[in-house]
Amino acid sequence: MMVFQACLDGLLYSGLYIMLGLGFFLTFSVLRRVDLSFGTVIMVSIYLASMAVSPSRFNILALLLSCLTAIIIGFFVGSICFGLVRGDPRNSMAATLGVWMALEELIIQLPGHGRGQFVENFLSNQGLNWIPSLRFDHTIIFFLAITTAFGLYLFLRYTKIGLAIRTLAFDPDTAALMGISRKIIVIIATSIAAAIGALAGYLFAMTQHGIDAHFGMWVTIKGLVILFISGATSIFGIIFAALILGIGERLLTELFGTTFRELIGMTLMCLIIAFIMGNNKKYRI
Amino acid sequence: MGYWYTIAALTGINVILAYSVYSSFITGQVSLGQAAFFGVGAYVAASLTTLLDMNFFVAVMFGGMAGGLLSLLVGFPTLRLKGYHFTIATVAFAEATRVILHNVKFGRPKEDGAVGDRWLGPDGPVGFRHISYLNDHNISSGEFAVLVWCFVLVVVGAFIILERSRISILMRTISEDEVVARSIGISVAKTKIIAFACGGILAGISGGLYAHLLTFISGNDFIIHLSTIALAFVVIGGGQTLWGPLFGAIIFTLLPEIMRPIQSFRIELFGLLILLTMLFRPSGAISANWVRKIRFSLLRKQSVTNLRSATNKEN
Repeated sequence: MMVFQACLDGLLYSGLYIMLGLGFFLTFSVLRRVDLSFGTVIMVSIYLASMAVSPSRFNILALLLSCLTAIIIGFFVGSICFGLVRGDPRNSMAATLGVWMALEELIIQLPGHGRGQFVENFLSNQGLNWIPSLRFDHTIIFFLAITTAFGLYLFLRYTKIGLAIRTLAFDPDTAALMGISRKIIVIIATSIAAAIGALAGYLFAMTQHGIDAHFGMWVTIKGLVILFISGATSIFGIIFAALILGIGERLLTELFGTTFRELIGMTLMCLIIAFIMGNNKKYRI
Repeated sequence: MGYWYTIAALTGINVILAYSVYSSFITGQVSLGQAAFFGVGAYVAASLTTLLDMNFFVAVMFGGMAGGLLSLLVGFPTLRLKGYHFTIATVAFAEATRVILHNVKFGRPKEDGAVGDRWLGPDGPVGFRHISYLNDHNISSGEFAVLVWCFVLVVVGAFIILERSRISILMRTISEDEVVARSIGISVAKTKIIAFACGGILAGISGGLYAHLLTFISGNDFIIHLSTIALAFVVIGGGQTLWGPLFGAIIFTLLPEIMRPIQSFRIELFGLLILLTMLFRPSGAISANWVRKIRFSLLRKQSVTNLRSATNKEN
């Protein structure tokens, strides 16, 4: 029963991880760069949106606003760190590190909000009638994540923009020969990634009744973990990696406690990367 | 004055940490696991001086060896990874090590001290307190700063020798193109592992010095931020020459202190500085071209002076 409950709880995390992983996946596939500021941008957007909307308690607006803010901030950060910073990919990574540090510190120093920001849960946290151990909000979030992943899959598979994104991710030279504008595709892909990331971040903040200033770091680390466990080759890989991580983490927490969850999780990840992955792969979507 | 001595010691420690990143950076590997080697070095060195009353220098060297051994352990399976996979593997490793350090508890009960403060050695999430070697042996902060900078001089000296040797060319060839390096008979794996292990040793040594400077450490001191900042020392200072990490670490440690009047926003400005450096000087503050130009102008000046003195003698 304990294992069953852990798996159910793990599904919530898996849902959130799916969305975070998808965000990272889109950015990484199109840009071929690691965006260390991804989580911080999401955190800042949630902070700003919930601060602006919380007095009115119109929480769905806060959710939409956080997605919009993430797109805007993400656009500026992307334009500077990936558009203007040239040369070695490590330079862009270092630039996003600078953005991460600056934004995180700004949030820490935000008067009255440095310690955390309350985010109201507008979904019911009661158990479902037919499975009392499964919370309503967790179920909604999981299905939202699956819908998002499926929607993204259809978008990438059956639309012209999706084809352009896939081509750019597979081979930038071919994309250029086909007349695909890298700039526009990068803007579209990073905007979608920021929106999906903000959606995941806001829903997580909602279930936890708030976030603190280190939330950005957590998002970035988890996103990277999912990206690299999945191999960054397909949406289904991301879903699979997120399910393993989410359910695995909850099971490990139940069996060994929080401390060993992180330890075993990270060691496993290290081993997976070291012994299973590591070959140069073409990034396909 | 004591405050500035502490800052000087901290700067020296950061310089050694920066060189630990640089060591594998010149073979083209970006490690974000230095925080783990730094932390292990800190815990080992502090445990040896606190629990076994070992000599400080020997303890720090053991800390370095612990860092080196750990880096070998991580290096063997991960150094065959390419690109970001290696970096992310080191992130995972650093995070796992942090959890271990955060929870490790060994040592012995302490006779004196307040209630709840009677443990000598690492005490799990409470941290490792009473690292009082410097205090017990009447080593002032000024003397400690001098000691740290002696370590720095040795490290910089070693890198100067390395830079002028054939090994440096081999390492840079691996960084530029592994296939070419293999084709001319360079043992890529061996060179990478040695470079990474040297980085681990340096991180361990700097960790040992850090633990004794601060007198208190905990697992949460060695989070991923530390690794990213160490990497920033190299990237911002410049990874093309050995002077880059030195400059990066000094500037990065001193600048936040100098910017104390605008204390509230110094980290923001610091982050902005990283961004601006990447925008306007992507090869870092000190690039190889820049060093070459300085060397060339110095040589030209010297040759002009020699020529003049020779002409004067002839006349």
